[in-house]
Amino acid sequence: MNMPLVQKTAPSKRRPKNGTRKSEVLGVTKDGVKILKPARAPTNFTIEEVREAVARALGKSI
Amino acid sequence: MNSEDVFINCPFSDDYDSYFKAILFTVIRSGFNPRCAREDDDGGDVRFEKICRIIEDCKYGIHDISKTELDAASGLPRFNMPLELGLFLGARKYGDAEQILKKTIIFDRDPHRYQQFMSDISGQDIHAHNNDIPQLIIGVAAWLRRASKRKTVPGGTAIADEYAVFMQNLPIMLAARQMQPEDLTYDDDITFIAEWLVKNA
Repeated sequence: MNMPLVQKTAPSKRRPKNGTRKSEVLGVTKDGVKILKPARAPTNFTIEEVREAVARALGKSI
Repeated sequence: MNSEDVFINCPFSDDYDSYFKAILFTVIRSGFNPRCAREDDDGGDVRFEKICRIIEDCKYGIHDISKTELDAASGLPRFNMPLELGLFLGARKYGDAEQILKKTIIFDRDPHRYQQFMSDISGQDIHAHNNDIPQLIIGVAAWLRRASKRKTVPGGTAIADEYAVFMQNLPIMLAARQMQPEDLTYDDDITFIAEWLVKNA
């Protein structure tokens, strides 16, 4: 009797690897550290509101 | 598993909020991506499954078991932090060739307190922060530099100084919306920290 060359195996329950995922860089500090962009948007603010608030606290323009 | 992702396992209570923000600040300032059970908190996800998924993604883990204590109302211990620590150590112990590369640091408030309730973790990388935020930041930064071998991770004392300025700026940043620092969600926190660092650090 011929046996099948490829045996069926149970499907893996593991999630696909995401090791290749690379975060976006939001900016670089003066000492060369890459600050990564948050993966999700803020809940209670828009990005523009956050940037305005940061600029206001630092006394800088956006 | 992502070599930029850092799992943060700590209390999410109001009395720990400034410590939690300090860890987030240090992780982001060091060039990494913080992850924790509070992210994407839409209530539609099974919490345990979400934690397992995040742990699987993260190469690094920061665990603070300092609030493992009896709950005043129930008289029972709060064991979520030890549970998540066990999951992380289990992934490293029994995981595939990638998962065994996970690295972890454990903080408690006193050097030997863990021996009274979790003595089996002896031999792990356990540090005491003595409920001192600068000490916690210095410990996290030194460990991230050592564990990742990234020489760009700044000194902990410098990060602690920046964090103090950030916390002074935070009420000013929130004033227009009449919000307090403890009103921020996790996603608000990391956005304010990242945007502030890009403008100021």
